[in-house]
Amino acid sequence: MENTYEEIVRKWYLQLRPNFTTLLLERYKNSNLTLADVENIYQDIFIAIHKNLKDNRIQPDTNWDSYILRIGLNMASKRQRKLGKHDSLEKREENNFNPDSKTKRISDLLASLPSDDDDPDIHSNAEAQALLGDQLTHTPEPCASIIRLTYYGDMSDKEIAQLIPEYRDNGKYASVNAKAVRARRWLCMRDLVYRVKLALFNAGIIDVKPIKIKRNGKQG
Amino acid sequence: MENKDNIELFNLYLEDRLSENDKRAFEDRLAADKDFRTDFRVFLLTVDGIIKESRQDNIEFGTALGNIDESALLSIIGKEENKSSGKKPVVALLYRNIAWISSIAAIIVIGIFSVIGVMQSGNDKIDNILAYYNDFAAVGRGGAKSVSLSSLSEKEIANIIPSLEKEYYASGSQDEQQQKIAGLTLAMAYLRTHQRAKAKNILNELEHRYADDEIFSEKCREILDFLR
Repeated sequence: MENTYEEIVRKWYLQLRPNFTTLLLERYKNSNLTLADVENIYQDIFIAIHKNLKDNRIQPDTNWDSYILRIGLNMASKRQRKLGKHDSLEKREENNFNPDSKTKRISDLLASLPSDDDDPDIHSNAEAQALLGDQLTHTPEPCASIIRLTYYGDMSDKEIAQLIPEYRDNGKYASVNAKAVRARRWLCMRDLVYRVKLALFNAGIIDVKPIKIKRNGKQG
Repeated sequence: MENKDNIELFNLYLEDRLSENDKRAFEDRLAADKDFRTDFRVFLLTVDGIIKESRQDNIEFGTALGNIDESALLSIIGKEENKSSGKKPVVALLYRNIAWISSIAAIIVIGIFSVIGVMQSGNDKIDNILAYYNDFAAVGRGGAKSVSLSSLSEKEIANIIPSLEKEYYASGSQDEQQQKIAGLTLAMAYLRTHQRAKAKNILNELEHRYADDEIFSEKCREILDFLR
């Protein structure tokens, strides 16, 4: 299990690093913040989180990618204002989002849905869950981040825009603001739901084949 | 029939942000339209899955990080190695990635040949594997765009090669670290687009230019050995 824990930490460390360095260097590109500075901040954050976890000052189910990005932006900002190095994490705002409340709302809605005998009960279908998991895994960036920050992080479009670096859209780099996040989220969700529906249809779990809607809103 | 606005409508209903009239209309439609109902079920399944998977991933990471000891963490992030070798954190992490990734790449390459036994397309596969596993975000300063090759298609990489070439050949004014990153990124981009000869040229250049840096030049030699 020790090796597995290390593998998990290493995987996350490497996975979050590109977004983190890109975001900070973008935000402070007109300053003297260097790649080495950003790497040091990134390492310091992991050391500090590790300590806080050991001291039970932070919960394991924290929304880690947004947490790390926020701390990073904050530390870079303070470094630029020359407020000195930080050995400990600044206390961030409490995450009041309770994912249980959303999942409860979903369960309540499903229970209250009118249904006929031939309505598929996909929610308790193990195969449907597995197909969904597969499609979530294959959701590309920035969709994966935007969707996760929306539904798990319960963040506003403006907050999400602050944590997403520029991304390629139709071959060009798109600036990220609240409006762009909102537009992108619906494209991402439409695409994800289409893929999930297609997987469910191909598996025979639902009997309605989805129709692909193009970006311009027309049917594919 | 999937309406392009359904997703937003479903979300508004989920968040209880519809007006009373719209909410009634939505619920009437749910009762009357089986396809609409199925679409809504799939939407709810998807959102529920997003939340549960995110939570599971976060718990897994938080638990893992809370359970490893400090020396293991310092080893993972390259802090401990930097202190002993005197290298900058970013340099040690780069070498650590290359060492680890090259070993994995070697194992996977051997595995692929023994299982598939295909030589014809083997060269192309090695190139893609090496490029994917040696990928790292080449981050520039002064507003240069970051490049993560594994997220781009072959065609997209071909389109950005001119800018990568410019960055590499103009990187003389940047510090040594930037030059190395620019060079490796260009070499990997050539590999992804199956221009092995060009990739080898760059790697040879890097190996000789930075011969004083034994670790870096050794890594360049290792990649060149794979390509042979």
